[in-house]
Amino acid sequence: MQPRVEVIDGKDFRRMITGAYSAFMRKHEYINGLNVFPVPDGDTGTNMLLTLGAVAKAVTEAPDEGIGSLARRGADSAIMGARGNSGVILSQLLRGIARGLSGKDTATSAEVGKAFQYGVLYAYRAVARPVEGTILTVAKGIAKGTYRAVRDHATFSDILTAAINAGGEELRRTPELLPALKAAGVVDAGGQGLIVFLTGCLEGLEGRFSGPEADFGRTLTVPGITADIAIAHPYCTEFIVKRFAASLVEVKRQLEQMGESLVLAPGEDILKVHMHTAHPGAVLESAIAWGTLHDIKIDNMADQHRKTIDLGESLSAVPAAPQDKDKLAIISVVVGDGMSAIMRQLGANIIISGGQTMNPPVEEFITAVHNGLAEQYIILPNNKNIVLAAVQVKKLLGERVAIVPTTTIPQGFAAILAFDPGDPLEANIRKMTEAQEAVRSGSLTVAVRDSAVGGQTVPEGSYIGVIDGSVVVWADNIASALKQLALYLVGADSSVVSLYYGVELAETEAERLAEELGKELEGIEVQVYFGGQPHYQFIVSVE
Amino acid sequence: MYVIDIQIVIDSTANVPEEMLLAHANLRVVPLQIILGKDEWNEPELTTAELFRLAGEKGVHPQTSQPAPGAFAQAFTPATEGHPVIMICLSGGLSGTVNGARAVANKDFKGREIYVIDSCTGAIGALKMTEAALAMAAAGESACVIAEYLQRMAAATRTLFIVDSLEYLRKGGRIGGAAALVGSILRIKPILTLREAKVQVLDKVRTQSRAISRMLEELSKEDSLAYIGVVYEDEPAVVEEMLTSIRQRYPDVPVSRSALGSVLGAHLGPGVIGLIFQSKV
Repeated sequence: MQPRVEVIDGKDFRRMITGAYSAFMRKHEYINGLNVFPVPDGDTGTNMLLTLGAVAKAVTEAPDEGIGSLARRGADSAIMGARGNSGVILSQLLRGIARGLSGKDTATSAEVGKAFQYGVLYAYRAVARPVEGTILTVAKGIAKGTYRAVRDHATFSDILTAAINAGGEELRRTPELLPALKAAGVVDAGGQGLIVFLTGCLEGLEGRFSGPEADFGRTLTVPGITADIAIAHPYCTEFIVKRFAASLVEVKRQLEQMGESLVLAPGEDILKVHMHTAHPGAVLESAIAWGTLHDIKIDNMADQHRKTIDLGESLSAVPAAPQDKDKLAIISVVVGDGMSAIMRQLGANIIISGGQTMNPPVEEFITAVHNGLAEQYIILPNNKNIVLAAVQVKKLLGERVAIVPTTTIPQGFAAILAFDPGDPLEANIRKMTEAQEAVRSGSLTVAVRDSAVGGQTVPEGSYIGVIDGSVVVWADNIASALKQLALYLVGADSSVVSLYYGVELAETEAERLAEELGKELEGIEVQVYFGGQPHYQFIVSVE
Repeated sequence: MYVIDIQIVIDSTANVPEEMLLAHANLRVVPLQIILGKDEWNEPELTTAELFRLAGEKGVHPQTSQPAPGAFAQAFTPATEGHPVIMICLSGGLSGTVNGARAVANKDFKGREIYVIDSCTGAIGALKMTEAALAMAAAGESACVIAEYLQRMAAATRTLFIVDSLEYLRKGGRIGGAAALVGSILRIKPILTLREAKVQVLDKVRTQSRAISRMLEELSKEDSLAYIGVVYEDEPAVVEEMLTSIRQRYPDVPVSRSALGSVLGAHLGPGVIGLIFQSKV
């Protein structure tokens, strides 16, 4: 007999989130496997797991009891912890739920049902191009199921069950709607993630935990910034003011002038302060006037950063970042030692490590911006799986951030080459966007499964050339696949082909293949560089 | 033949041809020096090819020196006898010559009529200004009018160039570290320009052929061209192709080619292709 939950409170909400997290612990590898594509792709399941981990941690540790404020905390941490496109979608789902529960201490099942409907609405609004057969179809099914159950005054368990059933039905239909899914014999990964989320919520609500206990270990790693950057406000300063007897507005006004990343968490007669400053002494001195100071903690963030820095020797010649604030700085997302070194030498101020299968969380971008290196930042996502996270950062930080929507690393190189720190932001964005559009690039990898391309079967283990997410050429040996890919990319006005070889290829092998390719391409210069990226033997760009 | 009153002085980096010197008694060249380790040459004594060969052999980085104050003083002497002197110098962005000349003129020739002009360019650009100055002097224009005209020419002249490696410019302190770094990766060819008495990066493209196209694109932005000059160090085939394309596109504009002198060679390094042009003033 399932417990009937008529009024949902904060404790129930906690259990739902924890249940959802443990569901993802069990299911994330399965969701990762729902890959329509014969190449290693952004891991939808892992991204959702890590995003939800940030939420579960925040919700579990929060002192709040009200369902509204817990949902708010959960949504905030999802927005900061969102990884990859699927993480961003999940964060929007939670935002919608939080909106529906806003201001409530407890909620009726109908209210929570409506909040989940909001969530689903927010989730599919986050999808840039709504296409049937994706998370959109599943979300619509869920919305329909929820609506009927809410109308029938069902318990929240029943509402969730109805949502899962209706959504699951639509999920099974996704291969009929999207040929790519059918060809790969899978259902949509994002839609599946949505069902796993709801199923986990239901299990948590009913206290039916199964599988491994929630373990936040995977999400607790502090996002590191792999760059030696100058920090304008190096001291992360935290303290609690007890017997707080001052105006919050006045405190905010004073502290804002003394640093940045200011967070004030007021309670009853108590105020928690977090900020980054260059003068922690001055901050504490001012705070003495507001009450008594406790749990004072001052960290030099440069120490934290240095621990995560691992720059190759080749980079030692890079001039130190200027101490004064620049007008503009570039944040570039790159995977591979070689690619990072090139990006850095081309002038990227901050390198965030990440790519196709390792999508950095939104928080990592926010931390980078908060280091106060420059007044405004230009983000080069360099991967389609990271564009949405960059857009999320832009939404959170507004004018301080602009995006040049590069989807490959060679596009990122072209964009940064067009960057001129002396020009205003708008002019740079225009020039950089233009420059990246002129680059044609593709990548070479090994098919991790059989797939069908243009009516033909490409067997697992084939070398495949991929452009804009589509397999365009394939062969059973790397030289032939490379040649076909290069020929596919070159046009009448092409003059240089750049090959960036991955970590799986030896230098001599890469050079031999480049030389061979050079003989095939008359009048075109073939250049070969160490990229060091995983999965892809070559990233190829043509200019 | 009457004696032309106005004296024209030009530094050696303009590569004034022998015939021009012989034809004009009022034209004088002040040489800069090339230094390789302990050895020193006046610029005209050493070809650019020789310079790079010797630098390679000795394993030393070539250095240059602006003319000694005494050399300027000698060239300015006619001013003490009432002859106005106009000195045309290599761009202040590349050389201290213009400052050296001004210092001598201000200190030792106070009150004498000496005009020191920063050509804001070099090579063919400075040579074209010399030609104009000689012609105007022969036509009886006053030194003041000539100097003013030369300044307008300098302002209307654009100097673009690419180099094999930014190493020489960096070692000579003529370009910032960050810009030099960009030139060392992905075989990027920065398109350099002389602007505001500095070597600046106009654009960054990959490969030589794209860099040349980019320079020609800048050329096409000018409406009425007085001349186009291609200056080079090595790369004869590429230069020939570039000249052919320029001549086709600009059949009515005088086009010249000239080899880079050894001082500019020492500043810029091997593999220089430069494009110097002036819009009509």
